[in-house]
Amino acid sequence: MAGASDAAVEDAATGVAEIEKPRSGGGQKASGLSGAIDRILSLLSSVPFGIVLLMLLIIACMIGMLIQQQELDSFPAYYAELTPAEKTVYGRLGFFDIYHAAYFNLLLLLLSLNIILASIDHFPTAWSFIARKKLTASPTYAMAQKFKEKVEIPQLGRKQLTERASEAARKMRFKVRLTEEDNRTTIFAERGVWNRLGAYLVHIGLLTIFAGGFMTSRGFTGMMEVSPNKSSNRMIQNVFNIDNANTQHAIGQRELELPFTIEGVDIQQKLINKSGSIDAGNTLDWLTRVRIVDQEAGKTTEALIHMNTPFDYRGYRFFQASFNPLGSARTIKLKVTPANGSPQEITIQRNGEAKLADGTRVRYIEFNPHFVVGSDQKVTFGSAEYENPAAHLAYVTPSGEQGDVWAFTQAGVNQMSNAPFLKSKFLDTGAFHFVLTDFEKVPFAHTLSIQFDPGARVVYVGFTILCLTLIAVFFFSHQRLWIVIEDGAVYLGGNSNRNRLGFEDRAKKLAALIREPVQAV
Amino acid sequence: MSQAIKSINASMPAAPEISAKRPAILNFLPAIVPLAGALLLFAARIKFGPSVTPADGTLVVLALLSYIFAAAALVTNFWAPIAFLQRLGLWTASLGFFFNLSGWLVRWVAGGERENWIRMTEMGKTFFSYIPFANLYDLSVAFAFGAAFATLLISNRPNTRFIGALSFPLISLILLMAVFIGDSFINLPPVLDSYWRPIHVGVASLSYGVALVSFALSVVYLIKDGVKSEAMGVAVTAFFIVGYVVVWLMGGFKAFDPLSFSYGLNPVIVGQQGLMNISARIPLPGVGILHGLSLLTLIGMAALFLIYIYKNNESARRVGHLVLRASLVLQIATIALFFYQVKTMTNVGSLVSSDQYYKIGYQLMGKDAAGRSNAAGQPVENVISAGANFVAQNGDAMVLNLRSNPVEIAALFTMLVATIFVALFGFRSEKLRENLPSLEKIDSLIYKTVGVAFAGLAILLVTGAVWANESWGRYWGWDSKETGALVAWLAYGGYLHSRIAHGWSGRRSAYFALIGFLLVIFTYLGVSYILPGLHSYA
Repeated sequence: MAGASDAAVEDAATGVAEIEKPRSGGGQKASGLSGAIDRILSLLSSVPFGIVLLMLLIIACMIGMLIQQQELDSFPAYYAELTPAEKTVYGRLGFFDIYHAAYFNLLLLLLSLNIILASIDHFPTAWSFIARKKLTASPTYAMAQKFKEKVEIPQLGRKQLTERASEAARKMRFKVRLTEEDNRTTIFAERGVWNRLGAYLVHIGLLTIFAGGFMTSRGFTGMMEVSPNKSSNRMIQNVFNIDNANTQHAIGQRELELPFTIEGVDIQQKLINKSGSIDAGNTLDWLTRVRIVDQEAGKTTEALIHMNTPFDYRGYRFFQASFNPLGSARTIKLKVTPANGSPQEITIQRNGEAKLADGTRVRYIEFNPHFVVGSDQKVTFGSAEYENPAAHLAYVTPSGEQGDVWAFTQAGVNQMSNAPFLKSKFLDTGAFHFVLTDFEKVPFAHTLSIQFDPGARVVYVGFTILCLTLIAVFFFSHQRLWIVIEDGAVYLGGNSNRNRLGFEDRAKKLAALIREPVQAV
Repeated sequence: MSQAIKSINASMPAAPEISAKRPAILNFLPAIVPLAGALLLFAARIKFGPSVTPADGTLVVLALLSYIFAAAALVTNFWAPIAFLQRLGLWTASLGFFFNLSGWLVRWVAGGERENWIRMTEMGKTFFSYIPFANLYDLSVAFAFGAAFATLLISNRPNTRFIGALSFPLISLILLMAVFIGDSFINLPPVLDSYWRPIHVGVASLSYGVALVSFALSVVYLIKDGVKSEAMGVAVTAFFIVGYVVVWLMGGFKAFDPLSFSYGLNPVIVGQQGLMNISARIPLPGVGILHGLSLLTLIGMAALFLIYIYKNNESARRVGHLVLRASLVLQIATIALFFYQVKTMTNVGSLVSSDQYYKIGYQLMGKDAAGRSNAAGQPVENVISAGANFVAQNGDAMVLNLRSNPVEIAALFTMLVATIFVALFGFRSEKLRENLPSLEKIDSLIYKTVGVAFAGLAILLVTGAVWANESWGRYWGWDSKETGALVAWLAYGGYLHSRIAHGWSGRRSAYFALIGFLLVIFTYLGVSYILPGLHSYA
């Protein structure tokens, strides 16, 4: 099965692969402007040019991977370690933000043009497989194909052989078309001709994704910190600014106004080990409940956003993005002992209230995971960890007596007993003694990412087209077999645009089917 | 074998391997039997608990041993075409696939039991929450069985079974790295607990596997096409040198420092949470010198081979092959000494030099919630003293461990295996070429595998994009892992288009397929190992 001789016999219309042909325009020297346009068009529509563009794109992406991009968190440290020369050269070449550089976009534009033009150029050849099928063939033609086989059964005539062969071809699931000529019959057996069009659909999918990507670039994304009882209609966007002349860079922030207000209702963090830390490593999920107050539409919507479960509203999408790691508590459990009464248990939600048996209202104001008193006698955060948790409370008795107090864990209370000043200032204030018996850990705030992306739907359509057509292209093939029948002999020859071995197996089985019953007789 | 087939072909039109009667499914038994076996074992493990099967780590080691044996049998078969040897290799590989897949499936159950199936009982998640696709170990085990499965499927005809001789050594290297990474579990980061994970990573392991097979086929194509083993030697040398340069560009040399000829590993502290890698380097005496000499001999070999290729200088070729053998000896010695030192060195903490305190301090100070280093805002002296204090307090607990730097250790083995193959291809290469199927046939297999890998990588990119859009709010962010996968996909796109571009097909196409796989490997390892980004866990 030598390749060279086959290729010589193969003619363009029936060729196995569509081989790039030099354009005829290249030969005749057209003068002036039209000649130049012709040459540019022929370059833009050529497949080798497309491959060169692909390689340039690969190189640009490799640069983008090997040189850190400005939006990475680690970029400031990386940038600081570069030499001034590197900063200047990389900066001027746009390497710190290569995927948004003008030349990168130009590359994508050229590639899109190339895909469109090359597809237009190649489409007629592919279409001819469907519109102009070669229905007849000579034994010589069949024997010049990549797959070829001759079956000789002298005792059978042309008609019997034709029946046998067409039955065999149908059995091997080929579509069969019969053409009678004076001295021979040709069966044109074919499978999966639509496969020839698959490549074009793949490219349509790709162009759809590009178009969607362009639409996405008109959208925007911002961040908003959410905690219970906090509401805002502004989100924050990072702005990167690299000054190549001074080899400086800065990350600024910009506020964007939303057409609605987000009110924090509740935040919750589900932990693997409930008494462990609130690090990501011990976390199952972060849940954020918000209320979207929309003045324009005149309605209010409740939403739950958690990990991998975004929420859509008016073209905006809300994602659980990150959290403020300062430890807080979603609910607190308190043991309250009145000065002259028996202790009782209450549970209060964050920013919520509870009523004691005597009608006193207790409000949970804030939480401090690591309660310390600074040199200025003010309460501050020792750290973000739950080292000395305390809840700040306010109470109003039925008689109107008001006060605020800190509730500590039993360990905290014991510790404080050694410090009389602190004890008198924070513990023994008023008619109640509070002990923080339990609390549900939660971060101080969650951060939502809010995205407005007008292109995502288009991109998804492109994704769908791309995946389906790629599967259709690469898991199927266009197989053609010419079965030329003369008295006593059948010549089989054919080719396949893909999966040659599979095709040849099928064709060999077909030949065996033509041969077998006779041998059995 | 091809001689026999050729002569039969000439006399009889129907090749003997194809018969209308023998069901095609029988040819796929080496792929199907282990698949079924592993699923049975999986079911048994779920039903009867941990006592009925070996632990997942044991199964993976058994798989590695089987693959190595299969590779050896199939490589020998290149020069000694014995049907028994081929069959033995194939069925051992099949056994390896069984162990490999079983190990992964058993790990699935073990991972769930470890958390008491809390995600299913308390969070309404499914069994797929525990699919072992959490870190580089899991992915490597899956990559290996994906590649083994693809190889066994393609080996469904006698004249395609040669492919195992190249793909099983590669698969063994991947699994070897997995063994060095170690099978300890990690807590799954919440963002990964999505139903997209089994889809996305599953597609990754299978398409990476198919890409590996296309790489092996391209190498075979080049051998058959008459590319000299000397040229391959030059390419292999260039590959490792480029690798070193890229690592250096990305923030300095890691294990091996060519300026001081020292080869060092991170010391580790064994704790309850597993190993803690300390970002210092403990030089292993002698290993750096041997590794440096191995590299130098490789470079010398490449230079001599270049002289042979361009000047047709026969004595350069001969000396080059001698140098090649010297490099092989040196590399084996490097690995032997490496293991000896790791096993026997004591008092590791005292070997941490004071110029490494800064790095240790930097590591200890950790990162804030936004991923920025806390050390960046601190005076240098504070960072250094934090590092020094840590070494003073914990120096005694520091030890060397083979699991500290899996990628770098696997790289030592990869260099050795690549060098062995260069030497092998130079040995009676005419006979080797004769025993390989025709160029056209190999080409058709490359086209098939690249087609599947291309479609697979596209689905990988798309599922990754959709997942990213569902959890991070953007379908494409030029994250280094995303870009890496895109680049590999583009290279395969280049391959596919080179086939329809006049004058680009044949050898040039095969180069595209080679580069495509190298980029897949870069995405798979390089990105996690040297680049910052969202996929840093795997």
